[in-house]
Amino acid sequence: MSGEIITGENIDQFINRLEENAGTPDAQDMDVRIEPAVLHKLAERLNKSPNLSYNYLSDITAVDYLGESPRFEVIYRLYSIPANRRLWIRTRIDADTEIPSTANIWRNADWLEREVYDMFGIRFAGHPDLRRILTPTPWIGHPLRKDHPLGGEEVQFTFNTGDIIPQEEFISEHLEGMDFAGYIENGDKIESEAGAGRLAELVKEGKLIVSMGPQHPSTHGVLRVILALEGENIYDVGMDIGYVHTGIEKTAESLIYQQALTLTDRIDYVAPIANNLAWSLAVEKLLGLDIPERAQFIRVMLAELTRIASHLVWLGTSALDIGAVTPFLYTFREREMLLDIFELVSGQRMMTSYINIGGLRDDIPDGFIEAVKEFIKIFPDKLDDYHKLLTKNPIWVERTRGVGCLSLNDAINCGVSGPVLRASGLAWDVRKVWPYSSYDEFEFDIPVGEHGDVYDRYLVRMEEMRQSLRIVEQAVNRLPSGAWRVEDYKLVLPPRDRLDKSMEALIHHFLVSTEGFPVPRGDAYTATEGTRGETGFYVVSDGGTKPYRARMRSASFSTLQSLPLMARGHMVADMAAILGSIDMIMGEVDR
Amino acid sequence: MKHVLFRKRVTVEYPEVRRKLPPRARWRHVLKRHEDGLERCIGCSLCAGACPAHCIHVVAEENKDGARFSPGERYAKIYEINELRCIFCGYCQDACPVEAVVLTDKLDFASYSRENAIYTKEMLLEPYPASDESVS
Amino acid sequence: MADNVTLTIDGQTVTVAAGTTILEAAASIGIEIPVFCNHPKLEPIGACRQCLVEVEGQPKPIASCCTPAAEGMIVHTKTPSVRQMWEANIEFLLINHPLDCPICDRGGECPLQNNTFAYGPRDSRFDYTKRRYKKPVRLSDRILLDRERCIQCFRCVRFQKEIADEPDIQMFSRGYYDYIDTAPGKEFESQFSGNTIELCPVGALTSAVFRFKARPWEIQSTESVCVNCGVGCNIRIDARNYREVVRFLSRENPEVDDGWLCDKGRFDSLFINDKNRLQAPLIRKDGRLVETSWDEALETAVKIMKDAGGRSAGLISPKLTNEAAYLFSKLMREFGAVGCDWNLERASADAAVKTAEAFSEGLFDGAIKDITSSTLLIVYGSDISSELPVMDLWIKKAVRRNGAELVLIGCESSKLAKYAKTVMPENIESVVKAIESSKSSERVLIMVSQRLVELSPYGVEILDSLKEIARSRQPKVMMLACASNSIGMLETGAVWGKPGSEIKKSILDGNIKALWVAGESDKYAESLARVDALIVQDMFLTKTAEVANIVLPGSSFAETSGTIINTERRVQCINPAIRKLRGTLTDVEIFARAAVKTGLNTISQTSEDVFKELTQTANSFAEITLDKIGARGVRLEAKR
Repeated sequence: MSGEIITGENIDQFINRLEENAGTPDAQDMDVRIEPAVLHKLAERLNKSPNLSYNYLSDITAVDYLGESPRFEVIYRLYSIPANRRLWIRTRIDADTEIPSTANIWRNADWLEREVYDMFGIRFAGHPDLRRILTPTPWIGHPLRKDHPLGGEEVQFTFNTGDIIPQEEFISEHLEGMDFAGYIENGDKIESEAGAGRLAELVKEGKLIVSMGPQHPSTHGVLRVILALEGENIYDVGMDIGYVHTGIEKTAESLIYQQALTLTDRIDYVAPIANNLAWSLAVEKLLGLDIPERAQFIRVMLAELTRIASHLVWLGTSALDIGAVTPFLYTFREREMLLDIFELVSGQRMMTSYINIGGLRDDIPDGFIEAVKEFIKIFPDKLDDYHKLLTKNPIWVERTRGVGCLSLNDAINCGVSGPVLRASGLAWDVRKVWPYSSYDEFEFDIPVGEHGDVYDRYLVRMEEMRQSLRIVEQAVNRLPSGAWRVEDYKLVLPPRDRLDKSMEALIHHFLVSTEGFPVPRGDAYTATEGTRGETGFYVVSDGGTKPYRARMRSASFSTLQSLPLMARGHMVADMAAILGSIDMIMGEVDR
Repeated sequence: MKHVLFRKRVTVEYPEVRRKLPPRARWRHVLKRHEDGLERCIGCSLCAGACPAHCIHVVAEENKDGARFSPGERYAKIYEINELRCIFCGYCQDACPVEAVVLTDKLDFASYSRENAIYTKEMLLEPYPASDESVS
Repeated sequence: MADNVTLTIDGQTVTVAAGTTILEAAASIGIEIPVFCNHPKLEPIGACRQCLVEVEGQPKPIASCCTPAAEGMIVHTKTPSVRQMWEANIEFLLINHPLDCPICDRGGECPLQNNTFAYGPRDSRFDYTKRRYKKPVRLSDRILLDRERCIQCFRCVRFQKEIADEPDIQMFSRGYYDYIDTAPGKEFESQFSGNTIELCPVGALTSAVFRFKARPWEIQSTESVCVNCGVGCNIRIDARNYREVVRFLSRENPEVDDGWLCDKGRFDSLFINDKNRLQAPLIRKDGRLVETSWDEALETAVKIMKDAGGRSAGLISPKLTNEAAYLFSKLMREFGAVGCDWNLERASADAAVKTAEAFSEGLFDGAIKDITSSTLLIVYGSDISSELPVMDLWIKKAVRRNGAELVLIGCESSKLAKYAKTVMPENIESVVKAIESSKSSERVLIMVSQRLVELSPYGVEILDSLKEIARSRQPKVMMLACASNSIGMLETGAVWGKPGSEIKKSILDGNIKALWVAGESDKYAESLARVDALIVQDMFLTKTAEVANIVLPGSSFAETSGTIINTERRVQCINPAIRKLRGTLTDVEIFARAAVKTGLNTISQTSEDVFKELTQTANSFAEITLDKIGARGVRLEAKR
């Protein structure tokens, strides 16, 4: 299939070939290039055909190859869930070419296409509501294009205090015409532009429009949920995201790979280590590195402890939102132990930047294993305590059972992953399907729900914590000795004691810490099972020391899209329960 | 579950009681000295180059007879860290070839103004002779 | 074809001219071979052994930098054994290399570091004592030498010998003991010494001026052009925090500077960082100069000039841009000034007019690159080595490598005298004689000083003779410009009315009531001090500024954008490398604002707009666009 581009001429043959080869090993991982015009036809066949059944759209993203013609590459990643197969579709277009929208095939494409439009200016023909999603409405330009400035303000020191170069002067090109002052003044006029048609309809029909958020204790971050109500019943739900959009993907293009790692801590900020791992795996794939076993086991250990820590936040806060105040204090008490462990190993409780490209930043210190063992010892009882508080609690059950149901088909169609997908009845976990970092050497179960309601999601996550602990215990007991990173000084810093003895080591230390290491040309994506679902980085390298494109596939972004499907027909009070059960992190949604 | 009255309290009564931070703790920066009092920092700026937040400002100068600050030819005449912009990743500490800039366990150093959060060399340099009280 | 050779490198065939080295042949197809001693502008010597490659049929590795490609050669650069050689060679070079990277100014932009990272070992096997030297050694007030870091590539010695022909530094002793030094008691005096800093592949030769100022990751680089002389060498201005210029580097323009930069251009412009720069307009009140606003200063300046009317004059520095000159000239006309010029020496207005005519008739069609393609070079009336230093290198190249003949007319004490076939008395007859006694087959380039043509009393006579010579022998003729934009002054129409010498006489006679001097205000301090009302536009409070009525703080060339015209009539762009110093305005901004205050409301306000206007109004600029100028400039053409 390499080199061939699928066009209107050969698409039928191509699809036939696909169908014929459906069962073969070659079909497991495929990468095809197409002309934009055939996208919709291909997508439909891929989705509908029972042999192919690429029913899951994982991600749509784009890369700006400024200087090349056509300029943009748009990439679709599809999975066939029944057959565990992966398919990449790539197409190259110019700025003024439209691509057919696939939002009516996979609902996940709705927001994904909006993001590509927002960031690159690529239009999707037939999209129900193509408008900006992450940047504010009056934004001019498309941020991820290479000719759009990064922006920023001079860092303040004593020499420039009082003389900070204004942003407009600091960045090399001006964002002409952007009118933020006008945005603030004319807020409601802009307001009505957003989803204007639909909102106007609803208002005409007499629905009450209420904004839940962006400042709201139950939206778990800065999220604006727009409710169309009939009395207390939710008729429809819209969402306005982008409040926490800080341009992480663009910033990563201006930092070397190790520096970009510190950005990843801050995307899913409740489970930073998981993001470090996803980034490191993607870059290591491009570098072609084999990570030593000890490092892999420690990574697994920390990733699972992070999962527990994140679920503890979820449990405490979502129970709190529904009104169960008590579990919050208990879960944070256990989380404190985990944060102490992270602090012991890295020096920071949250933004650890500990899992590094090549392995780890340092070996585990004395006391680490003991601390982990202590946690393993006490946690199962604590987990039982939480169960005692909630699982059979009539109020809890009443508030969560049957609430926010998401059918499995809807979940798959929305690109939902993680506990929400599993609660809807599918045993789909990246650690099992496409194992990474030696996860295939561990025994653990995947909890699966039945009804896809808030209660099932609760049960799934509770059980996940137990299973994660199981993995941690295995990792502790079988922790191999040996190297904790790839000992190649062209990638990692040499040990300190070499710096005053070895000229070569000093030179490499100097260059790796300031200029960074070059990564071979190419692109790579590694999926990991983050705490919220499939998390991964799509990294494109141009052979330099900085990523050319660093795209994060964010689990919460896709999952959050399914909110309307969960919420319609329920009452306002159920929103808190539903939002809590999605467990999205806005940092991950907005990046 | 034990009744709350019979459980061990987990509250740490800060600030009267402070928990002891582990050795790798990454908080307030300090510029260390050699035993003889000479500054370790040689003004090489690797810390500034490694910093993802670009929050370190270094201006190097030559040691002269009668005005020697560090061993060797070069020292940092100006060394500033904007502690508000800092993300406490520790890359500066990793990059420093002479173990001059280190992140200590002092985490309570908030200030009332942005200007006061710009730590100059005088504020960062550890005192000499070293006193019994650590910088924490 | 006998003159071409076809060989195979890493499986790729390439055909090159006979004499091309294997290294050059590889580079032409994008195959990189690491080097240290090799440099495209210096003769290869095979000293460092880094470029070793395998050539099939040869028993030993071959130094690709000094081995010509041969027909049918099969070369390998990617085999394990070649890579091992490269790694081993670097290991050897690093054995005695001091662990200086953190304190060495080359760190971060160092070929040794980069080659070690790309091809060298990861760790050291050497744990003995390294060779020590006292360091750093001061070779001059500009150059420092660190002998421990030297890898004996000889680039510096070769540059001084082959290019500058000023062998101020040599390698002394032999083998392990060899070291760079100057002659006993002497310094590294060559005015091109700074180039060795850029040539040196390690931090052995470093700039004493730039020492420790900035790391590569702290620098913002801007492409611009040097304004210290009429050559207009292309430079790179490096600045820190967008506020402080830390150094000037060369930026190769093969047709202007051949990749070199003289020490004036490299070291002498840092005065722009001086703390004493003016940061607010000054106005004289009650006999003292006090700070004031731009509005008041400009309004008063305009009033002074308007009131003086036909007894006012304008004096502009020939270093200012075309755009600044154009606006200044308009402004002076608006005041009804008696004249506008860039010097107080110009003998007659006729010479200016005739020179402008000569420009548009294409008399001055000589290009810098014509120096190396000419067989007879006539230099009339200029000590090129001090006035246009990089031209000295071009002439040396023409004479020493291409066998051109040099005739010096005047300036017998010039450094170039020893290369001259003859030195003749400084007058136009000598030029005629030199031409007449030359063979008709010679390709002749006459370089004549702008001072003689435009400013001296003999200008018209010289131009007439040159036109005569041009008609009969068709030599190329180049004007040796007095300053970085002195040719631009005439081309933008900023020379009119009373010529400089008459303006000076009027000043001394007390007939100039008001004078606006823009830039280099210290040049004619004594004369200017005699003017009743002086408006001084400068960066510093010069002696002239101290007695002025209005002082306007201007920006430097590193804070401005605009175009300038060099000695071969090439228009080049200067670009701002740092923000304007707080409180200052660029020359264009000052003149544009003043013009508005005189009532010229539609005047162009920015450099870009003025440039557009120039292309529409000035004949010589007609075909020029900013795109055409690009990064290398474009010569103004006029056909003879």
